[in-house]
Amino acid sequence: MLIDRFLGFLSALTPQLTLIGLIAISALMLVVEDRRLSLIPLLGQYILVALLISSQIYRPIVFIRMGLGAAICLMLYITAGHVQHELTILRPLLHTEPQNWPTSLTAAFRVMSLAGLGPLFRLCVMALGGLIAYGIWRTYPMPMVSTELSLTSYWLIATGLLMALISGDPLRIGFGLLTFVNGFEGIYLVLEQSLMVISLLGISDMIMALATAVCTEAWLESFKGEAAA
Amino acid sequence: MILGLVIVPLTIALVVLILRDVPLISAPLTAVTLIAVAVLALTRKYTASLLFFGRTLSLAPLEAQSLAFCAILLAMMVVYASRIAHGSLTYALTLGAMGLFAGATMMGNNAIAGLLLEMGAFAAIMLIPSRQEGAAMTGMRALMLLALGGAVILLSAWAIESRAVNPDAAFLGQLASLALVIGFGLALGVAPFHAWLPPVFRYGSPIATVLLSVVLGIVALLRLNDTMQTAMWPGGQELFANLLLAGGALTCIAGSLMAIAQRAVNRALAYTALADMGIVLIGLGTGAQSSAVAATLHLIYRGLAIAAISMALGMLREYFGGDDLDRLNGAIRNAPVTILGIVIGGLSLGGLPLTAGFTTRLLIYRALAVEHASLAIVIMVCSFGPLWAFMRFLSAAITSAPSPGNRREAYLPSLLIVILIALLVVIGLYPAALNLLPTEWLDALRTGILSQP
Repeated sequence: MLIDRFLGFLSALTPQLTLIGLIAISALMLVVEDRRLSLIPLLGQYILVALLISSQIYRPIVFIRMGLGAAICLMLYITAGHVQHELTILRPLLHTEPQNWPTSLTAAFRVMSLAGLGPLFRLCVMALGGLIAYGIWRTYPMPMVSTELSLTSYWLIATGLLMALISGDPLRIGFGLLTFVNGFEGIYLVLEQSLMVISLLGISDMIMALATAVCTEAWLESFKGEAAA
Repeated sequence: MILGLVIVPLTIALVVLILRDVPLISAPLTAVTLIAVAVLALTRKYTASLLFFGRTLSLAPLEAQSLAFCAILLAMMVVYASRIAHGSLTYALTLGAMGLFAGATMMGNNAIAGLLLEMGAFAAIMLIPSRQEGAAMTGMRALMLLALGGAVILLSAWAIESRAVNPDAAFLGQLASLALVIGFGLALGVAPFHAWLPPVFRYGSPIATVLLSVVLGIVALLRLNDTMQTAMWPGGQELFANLLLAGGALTCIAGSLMAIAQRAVNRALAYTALADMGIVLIGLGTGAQSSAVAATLHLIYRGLAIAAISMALGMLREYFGGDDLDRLNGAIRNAPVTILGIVIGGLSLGGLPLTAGFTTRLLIYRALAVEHASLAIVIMVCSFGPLWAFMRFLSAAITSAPSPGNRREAYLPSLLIVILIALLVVIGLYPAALNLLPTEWLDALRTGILSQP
């Protein structure tokens, strides 16, 4: 019942509303401090991009893309939960004996807290991403895809790359990377509709998320090693 | 059936993943599977292609030999890894990457091949992270740039296909050219797209280093070869030959200059390997048949040298706790094979006469000098950079200072290094030894990557 109502709500969304929704959740992703909560906007991105391309591709693929997004977010949720938990345990030790910690561990805590970088800075980065996306969209319009889709894709590509570039920990770089890939695939899936390509793109996204999780766990282990030392 | 080259490693990778905590089984199983892949690639008949879900899979003789070389090199690395500390996923990821790279080599469709290449690279990247500080971020940077490269390669595949349908669309040709340059530039790690590759030499395990700097390079060049031979528009081949020449010269000069100042083996290796990839690209870009064949052979010698140095580097870190110049003082007494592996491998990469690297460099220099004599002189002078860096390591190792390590070298890894440096020296002293290879293999080598007979 709930699922039916949710699907009904999604199908009632116009492309313009979807575009606004995507911009809003991308901003949320940059501002939210908790890594686990950042995954909700990422999942929202997968759902909204799938909706945006639903009129141009085979319908079951839309649901497969949504399922893929859910699987990726679930996989990253486990890693995000682990990172938040471990860093929360280590944080009080930093405050009690800051002089004993290596510089890199201090840096880890700085990137853990987005407040350290400033939400205003992050919003400025997002605005810059928006400007870049709008500029590219006006300069290189893509006649093969709808206006909303091309603007959305440029937006996701720009903000994803900027997020990956300004982030200091592997998990947030991974979020940025997946946002970039989501934007790229939004356009590419309309241009290339071979089932094999679509399947391989999905597998590639999964491997990318897995690599992000592996790098994040190793990053955490390196800090735990330092703490033990 | 050529599909076995993909299915066998991927299936065994799953088995090895389950058995990852039983190295007594997983290591030999991985090595045997890789050797089986090499044998399968070399013994198959080269005539038939296969339709798989409507897509053509085929394997040209040169591609088969290249895959076999990669598989044998990886088998050696796996045997080496069984005696040196490594992560629990190493064997499964190595097999997975090999299967995906084999698929990328055989696939006729550029988009699917690009995706398989990207997935293989991602699997190899997962071998980089370790508990060492900086390793995880190196893995993420590599992931970011190769994901970007993968997306751009997909874009180039779409642009090439669209241009074939709509030949008047000049925009598609420009987009395809730009996307091919950026995509393959990132995958090959050539200047100015090389930022992700040098840190891999510093933080990655020896297998990760070989997978990302040797195997990925070979497979990416085979893909570029396939694209240029089958899907290029009029004038496109000449354009790319010029781009290869310019990119190769830039990479060679930049890598050589950066190698001079390096005081750690991993950094010297990273920039020397970068410069050597530049030589390969110059060889492919000159357009001469002899030069293309030399560049193809050079790729193989480069792989042998990088594998030898990576193995030696792993042993240095294991036994001496690091690979800085200061740690090498007097090291030849306790680790003679390790030092020889580093020095001979490095000198071959740098192109010192009487090593394998020089035999192919000479042909490339001569082909380059025919049309660009001054550039050939600059490139030859640049080869002194890497040679200087590795000679400095040798001079430190043979000093009479007390050696920092007190452990003797492990037998099996030392044997593997000896085999690799023996090959580099024997071919350097007697290049005609290649004639001992079967005629069929020699004929395939003589076709050369990107050659235009």
